[in-house]
Amino acid sequence: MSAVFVEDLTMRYRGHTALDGVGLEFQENSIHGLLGRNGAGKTTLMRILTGQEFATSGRVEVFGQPPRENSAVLSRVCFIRESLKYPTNFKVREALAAAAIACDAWDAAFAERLVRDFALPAHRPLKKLSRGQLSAVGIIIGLASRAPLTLFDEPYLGLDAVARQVFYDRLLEDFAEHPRTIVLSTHLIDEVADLLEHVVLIDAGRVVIDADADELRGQAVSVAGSAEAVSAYAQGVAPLHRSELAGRLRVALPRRPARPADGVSVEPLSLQDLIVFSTSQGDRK
Amino acid sequence: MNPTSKAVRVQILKWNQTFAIPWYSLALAITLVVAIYAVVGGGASDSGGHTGAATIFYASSAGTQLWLINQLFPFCMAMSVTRGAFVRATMLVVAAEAVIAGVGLTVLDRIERATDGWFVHVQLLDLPYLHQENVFAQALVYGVPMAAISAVMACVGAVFRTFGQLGLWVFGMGAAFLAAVVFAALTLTHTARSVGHFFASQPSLANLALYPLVVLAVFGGAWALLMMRARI
Repeated sequence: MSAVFVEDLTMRYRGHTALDGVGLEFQENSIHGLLGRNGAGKTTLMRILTGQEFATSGRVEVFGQPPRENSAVLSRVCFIRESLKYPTNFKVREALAAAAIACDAWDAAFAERLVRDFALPAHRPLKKLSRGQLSAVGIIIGLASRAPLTLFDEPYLGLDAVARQVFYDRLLEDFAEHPRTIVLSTHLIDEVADLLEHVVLIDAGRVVIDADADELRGQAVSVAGSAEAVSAYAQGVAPLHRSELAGRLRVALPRRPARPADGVSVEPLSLQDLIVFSTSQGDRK
Repeated sequence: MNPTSKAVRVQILKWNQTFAIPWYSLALAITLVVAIYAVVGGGASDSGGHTGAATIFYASSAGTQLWLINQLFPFCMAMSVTRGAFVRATMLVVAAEAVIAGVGLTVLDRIERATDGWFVHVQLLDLPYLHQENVFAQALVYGVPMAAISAVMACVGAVFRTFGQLGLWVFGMGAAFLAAVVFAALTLTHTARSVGHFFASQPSLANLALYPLVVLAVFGGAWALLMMRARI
């Protein structure tokens, strides 16, 4: 069953189209990656899904109902975004207490454990936290909310590599015990590539890729070798990216050609490279 | 727990921010004024000493709504509280704030009367124009302006939330322009004095409770409309 269903969704601001006929589905109990460049429309989409923004046109359903001003739907949703404004005079513990009131499935013990894992000073006012510590507060709220639909929009701005790994580990552990729908929007694609089960790539307000992550990882390849050998091997497949140096050619192909790879090396293309090469500003030479 | 109850609980989680600041201010004002009058004996005259120090109570309540709208509202929305639930919760909190103000200030007013002006013949609350014999009317005179101030400040906060700094500037300029137009019209038609007489002839209960109620309805309605359209 779909946690999220979006059809022909358009969002226009004055003189700017943020989303242009977007259609997608997020299946329940799965980890989805919502990827794209800055300004691609990811945050706008998530704001519409959580009732914080009003779409210009199109159909949006969360757990089968429109989310806008719908308490039955929104009580099952938690949206943690990088730019989330916290009441500055709240202490960490008060922010968690507020989240506990608002979120029906809040797990206080899990929240306590995460506070320790991220070494957060629970009695310090939020306004005195570093950027990374504030991000940790958002991550704790998002995870401990156990909301059936949890959206993270660049949740770890300022977090160091160790803290990010803590986030990935706790997310996976908790997801295994309490499956739910997670939507993760991030630019650190390589770091989250192994977490994702489904990937949606948005570019300039349109869905460019909407596919199973394993399928994507298996399909796209990087081919390197002499210019003649690579051209011969890649014939008939439009490359996503092409670079040439000293007679050696490297191309990124969206799928593996159905012919023997003679004289060329073929490697799976990383999810990050696939995303970079698939966006409109990527190098398509 | 229903969504409105959740939003109320989040709003009063920091209860000293939501409710207590005006009371801290008033306690400080009473302490200072009583101390000053005790030292200088300023209230020992036949007419007693009147001070407007209690206005600090209303002035210091003004920031609460700005805090609620610009800091707590976006946080609540992230926690998936609906706009409607937040608006209803705020109405309940403002109503509670007004009731507490009305009852609390009336109790202090009676203490002031019973102690002959805090034992130093000073009047902070039992001012001539505010004075009501009926306890209920006295509570209205103290409580309704509190709700009206909250509504005005909430409306200002919602304008800023919805339209940003430019919107707030336009709102301010518009209000100033409207006031200037009304003043000019009254002056040109030589009716300013009549309007003054009208309000002067009204019972203080009307000026301090009924007309603030109209302000509450107008600004509260505008605030609710803006909040239902607010984007985060």
